[in-house]
Amino acid sequence: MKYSMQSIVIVVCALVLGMVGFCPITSASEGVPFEGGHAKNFGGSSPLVIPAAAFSTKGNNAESHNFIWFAGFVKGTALAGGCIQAPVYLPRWAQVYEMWVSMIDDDGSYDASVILTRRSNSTLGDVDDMALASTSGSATAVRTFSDITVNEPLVMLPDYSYYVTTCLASENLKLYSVRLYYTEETIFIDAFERGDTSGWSAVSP
Amino acid sequence: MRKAMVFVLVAAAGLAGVAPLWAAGHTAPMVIPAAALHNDGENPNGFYFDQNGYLEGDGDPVKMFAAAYLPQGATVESLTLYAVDGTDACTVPSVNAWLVRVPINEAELSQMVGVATDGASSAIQEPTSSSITHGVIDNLFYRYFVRVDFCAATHKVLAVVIDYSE
Repeated sequence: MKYSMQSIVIVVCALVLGMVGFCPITSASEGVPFEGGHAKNFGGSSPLVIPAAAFSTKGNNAESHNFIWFAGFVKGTALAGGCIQAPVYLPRWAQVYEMWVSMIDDDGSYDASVILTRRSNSTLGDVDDMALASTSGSATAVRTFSDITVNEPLVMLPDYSYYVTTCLASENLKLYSVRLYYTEETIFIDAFERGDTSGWSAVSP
Repeated sequence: MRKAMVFVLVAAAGLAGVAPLWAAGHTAPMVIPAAALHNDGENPNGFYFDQNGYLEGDGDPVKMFAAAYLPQGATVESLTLYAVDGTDACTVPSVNAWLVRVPINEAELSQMVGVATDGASSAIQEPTSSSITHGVIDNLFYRYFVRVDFCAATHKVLAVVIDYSE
């Protein structure tokens, strides 16, 4: 009997340690919210990498850009314009906190800006630029540009659509990729601290 | 030694028991923004992606497509189109959207669900349907995509939303 009680104690302690001590969701370090204040990083699939291949023409000047398939970048052409866009598929309730862009800007006259935008699906004109990264100067190498101050970072689906855009005004502007870093919301949304209580029923069950 | 082994094993069981809590992934509904839609090549300049994030036509019918990457085994619950249908006076009078599937080695397309705007209005319409045919996603044998048709400059396509359960 004594042996059985000892075993039970060992089993219970081990279960508690296994769930609390080893599991990231309950560890002390994971319990610290990031700067946004209400999300925990569960790892997930961040960053979202948007390759140049995801971009397509905006339609009225389809030959103003060129995807170099054997190298995986898109560049402008002599037909100036080159405005292109790509969809952004982020998880619901994710928190975007950085956008990084890899580009070649070897043009002394033009720079390029990549913009992450959200647009309401139900209200025309409800459009927010979330992040903007611009090239500068002129160099032949691939360089990275970033925006680490993201506006409206919470991904709200299906209320909003998310996409990135840019315009490549010359052949010397080449886009390689856009990378979005995000955290994912914990299962237990602290709606009251966040101030969004829409997920809570107004009627008691 | 034996107790230590039991301890480790049970601790591992405890970890396994809570692992699903921190597994990532709640991505439904799938919002396919207008930026995802590509032209079929027949009329590559017959549409325009407005800087405010929607597509509009130029007066001739245009067909746009986007891949629908849905999880294996998910069940499609509904399809909703967000669009403005500013006129009926065009060859394609409404804005239409379909979710379709095609066997991976065949060309026999089947429509899973379709919706269309109804009547001319400057407001955003949200036609939706939950009448789904073959709603369980089978990525082993089928490929899935969305098609959107529109026509006029006052046809504005904002997004197609696929809601699904896992």
